[in-house]
Amino acid sequence: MNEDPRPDDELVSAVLDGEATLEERALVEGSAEGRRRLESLRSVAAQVGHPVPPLSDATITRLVDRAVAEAQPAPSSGRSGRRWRTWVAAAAAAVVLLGAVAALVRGVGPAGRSDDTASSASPTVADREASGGSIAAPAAEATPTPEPVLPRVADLGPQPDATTALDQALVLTGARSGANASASSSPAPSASSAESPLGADEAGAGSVAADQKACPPPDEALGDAAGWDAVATAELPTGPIVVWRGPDPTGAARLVAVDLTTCAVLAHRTG
Amino acid sequence: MSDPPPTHHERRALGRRDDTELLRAAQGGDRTALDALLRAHVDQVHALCRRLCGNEDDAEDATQDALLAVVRGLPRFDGRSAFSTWVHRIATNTCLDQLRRRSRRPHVVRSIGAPDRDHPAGAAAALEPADGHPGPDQRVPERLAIDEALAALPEEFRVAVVLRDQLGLDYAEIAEVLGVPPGTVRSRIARGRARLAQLLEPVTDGNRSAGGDVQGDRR
Repeated sequence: MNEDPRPDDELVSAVLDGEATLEERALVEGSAEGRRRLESLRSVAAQVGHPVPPLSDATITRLVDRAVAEAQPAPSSGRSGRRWRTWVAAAAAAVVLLGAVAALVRGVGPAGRSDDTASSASPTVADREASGGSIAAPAAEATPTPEPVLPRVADLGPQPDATTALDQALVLTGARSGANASASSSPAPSASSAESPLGADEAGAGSVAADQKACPPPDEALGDAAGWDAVATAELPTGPIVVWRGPDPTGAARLVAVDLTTCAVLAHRTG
Repeated sequence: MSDPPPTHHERRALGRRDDTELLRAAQGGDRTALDALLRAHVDQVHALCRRLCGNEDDAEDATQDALLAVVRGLPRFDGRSAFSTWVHRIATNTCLDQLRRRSRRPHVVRSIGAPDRDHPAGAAAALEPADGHPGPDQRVPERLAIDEALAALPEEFRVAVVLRDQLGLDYAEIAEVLGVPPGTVRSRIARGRARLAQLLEPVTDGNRSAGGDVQGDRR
C-alpha cells in the first residue's frame, strides 16, 4: 500500500499556479509524492506554455488589415453621425420652409398692401401691423369685382311668413347695432354666429350675397340705395327672402322683406 | 523546464492604459487606433488559437475570425471587463466554433513522416485521432506531442489549461473569460493537467497511472 498518499491533483495544480494557501502549499511540499507530482504538472504546464511560433509581420498585417477593413462606424459615433445628419436635414428643411414662407409673404403681402395690385390673400399679422392694424381696407381692396362687398347676413331659417321674419330680424338688428358700432364695415354677427364663430351665416354668405345683388334694396328702385344693408335671410313657405335694413325718413331703422324670387317687397317694418 | 510565460502579466500591466486609450479612439472610429489595438492583441489571440486548434492553418483562420468578431463587437464593448479578457473570451469562443466545425469534417490521419505546414520536416510518428493516445514513439517532438495531447483533452479542460499555461491568466481571469466560478477553473486546470501528464508520459513522466479521472468538473 502507498504510505505516502499522493496529494490531490487539484491541490498540487493550485500550488503550481500560486493559487493555494500556505497550508496547502506546505501539505504538497511536505510530501515526496506531492513534490514529484508537482514537478510532473510543472512540466506539463511548461509544455503547454511553450511559446507558439509567432506570426510573421506579413501575416499579422494581413489579418489586422482585413479586420480593420470590416470595421463599421461605431454605434456611438454612428448614432452621433446619424443624429448629426438628421439635425442637418431638419435644419435644412426648416430653412427651406422658412424661406418659402418668407418668399410667399413678400410676394403676397406687399401686393396685398399695394394700391394697384389686387390680391385675395389674407394679410398676415405683420401686414396688419404694418398697415396700421386694419384688415378691413385690404379685404375690401382684395375684392376681385368692382361691385361693393355685401355684408354677410344672418340666416333666420324657416319662417312662417315675412312679418315674423321681420320681427326676428328686428330683434337681431337691435342686438347687432351695438356690435356694428365698432366695426361698421365688418360682417354683421348673427344669432347663429354668436353661438358659433363659424355659423350658418358664414356658410351661406356666398349665396346670400348673390341673392342680394339679384334683389337690391328697395330704395334703389327709388334711386337711393345709400345706407341699406342686408341683415337677414329667411326661408318662407313661398320661397327665400332677404331682409334689408335702411334709414327711414324719420331717422328710425326700416326693415324690408324682399322676395328673392320676385324681388317684390313682402313686408316692411319701422323699428 | 520553464515557468508559465509572464509576458501576459507584463503586457497587461503595461498595456491596460494603452488599451483604454486605443479602445476609446477605436470605438470613436479611429482606424489607426483600431489597427494598433488589434496588433497589440493579435499575438495572444493567435497563441490561444494555436494551442486550442492544434495546427497553424486552423489557428490562423480562427485568429482572423476572432479579430473580425472583436471589430464587429467593439461598439458594444462596455468596459465592464478588461478589454483583454473580452478579447480572450471572443477568441476562445471563436476557436471552439472552429474546432466544432472541423470536427464535422472528415478526420484526416497523417501518416508517419508526412510533412504539413506545422511540421515541414514531417511527423515522426503516426498521429492518432484526437480521442486516441499519442503515438508511443519517443522521437515525437515535444511540440507535436503537446498539440496532440491537448487535442485529446475534453474541450473545457483544454481551454482552461491553455488560458492558464499559454496566456498566463490567473484563475479569476479565466473564470471571467469562461463565465464559470474560480473553483471550477481550478478543477478544470488540475484535471486537464493530470490528463496531459498521462498522455505525455513518455515525454514528461514515467508514471502513467498519475492521471486520475477526467470525467466532469468538481465545482
